[in-house]
Amino acid sequence: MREKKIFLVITFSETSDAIAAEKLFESRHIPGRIIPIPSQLSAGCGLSWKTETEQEKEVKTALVEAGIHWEDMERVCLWV
Amino acid sequence: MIYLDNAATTIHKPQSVIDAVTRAMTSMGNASRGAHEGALSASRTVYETRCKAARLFRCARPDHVVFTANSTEALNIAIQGGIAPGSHVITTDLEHNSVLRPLYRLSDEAGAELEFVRADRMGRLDMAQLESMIRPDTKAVVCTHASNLTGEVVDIARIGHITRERGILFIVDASQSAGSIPIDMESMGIDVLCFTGHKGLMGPQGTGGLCIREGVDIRPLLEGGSGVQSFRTRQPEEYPTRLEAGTLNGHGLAGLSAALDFVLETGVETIGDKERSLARHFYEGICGIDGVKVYGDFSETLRGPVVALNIRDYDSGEVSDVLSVDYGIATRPGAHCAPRMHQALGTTGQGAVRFSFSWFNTFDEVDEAVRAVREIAE
Repeated sequence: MREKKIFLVITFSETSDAIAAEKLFESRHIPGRIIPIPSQLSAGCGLSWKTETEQEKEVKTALVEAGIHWEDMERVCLWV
Repeated sequence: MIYLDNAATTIHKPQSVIDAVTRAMTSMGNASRGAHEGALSASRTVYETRCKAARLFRCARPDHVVFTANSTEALNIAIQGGIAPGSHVITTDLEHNSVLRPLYRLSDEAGAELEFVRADRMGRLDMAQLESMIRPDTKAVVCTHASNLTGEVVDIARIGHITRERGILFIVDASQSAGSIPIDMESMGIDVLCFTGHKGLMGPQGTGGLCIREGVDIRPLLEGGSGVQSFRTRQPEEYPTRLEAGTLNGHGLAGLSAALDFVLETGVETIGDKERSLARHFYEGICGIDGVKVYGDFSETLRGPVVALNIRDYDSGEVSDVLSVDYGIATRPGAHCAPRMHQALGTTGQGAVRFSFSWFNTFDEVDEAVRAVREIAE
């Protein structure tokens, strides 16, 4: 059985927003990566950003400053 | 990377396709826009591509092969331009959003009445149900040839026989079958065949089109530059210009031309047999693994080269992510733009992980994928 832990997941309704966020987070050295949207957050398809929970404040600040729209920001138990 | 997301797009293309695009980008002008060598080179290339597509799909007239950017555009043109407001239209649960959304729009904005042939829990259609839905005011049947989720193949020839007998417009979405399953517009009774160039045909993205049976009237969605009949106030009435306003993707079509050569020379049967063997090999490798649930009816041999599965109650997105990150295997999770099919299969919450195979995959790659699924399921 794979180990699980709580991550912060930010979902985007538009692929362009997810890619813009990836570029932004990389430029600000915010760790994490793009993953498919977990089904517990949204049925269907799309992209989200998976990062450590302690990044929440930095992630929010970066997104607000850059004017990038996100849909949801949740703590989700995922495989490590 | 082991690429098993070929139902989304094939990533490995014949080298001749790549060479043809490169050549075109250093030599081709604008098709149907003048008589200098650059323009003529483009016009000839585009015409040859029409001829090859007509040959592949048995479309009687190459000038009734219309090029678009993809299947979605082709389907929008066929549905919005070929089905009158207020029509009764029959479609199926197997459809992709490229069929569903234009039809829902037709229903919302033009009073079309939609009726769906239901898929069962195995993703199969009941043809008798389709026949029973036909009414005197039924104007069109719009149907996929093969499900992009389970690979289920629809008996197009049987539907075509029914629609031809009753004078009903029959539009077929060949996005998942073109290049893998033989298509004969004449004998299958297809009025409009919509295809994409970048999947089973192994051509560039941004290419696709519709093949139209002679006598079928499709109203243009777009009007604009045509390079001919410039003093007409409206779009020329003749195909293909009627449905091709603006500059074509000539560079992409040069690649599609080379891709069609590859498919015609190799043979659709040969390509499809190999793809189906790869999918079958994968299915046989994973179907006995504890906790793995496969969707679709594998008692059928003629299938799209697709296997959709779930592992226990694991989120399909998370499984696909592990396959990508830990094993370097590219698959597609989620809903696959096929909402009604997921409803039929009971997978709207979990989604499914789709493995889809192409001519360029190997049995070793399939074995790797089987091993990965087994390890994740442990």
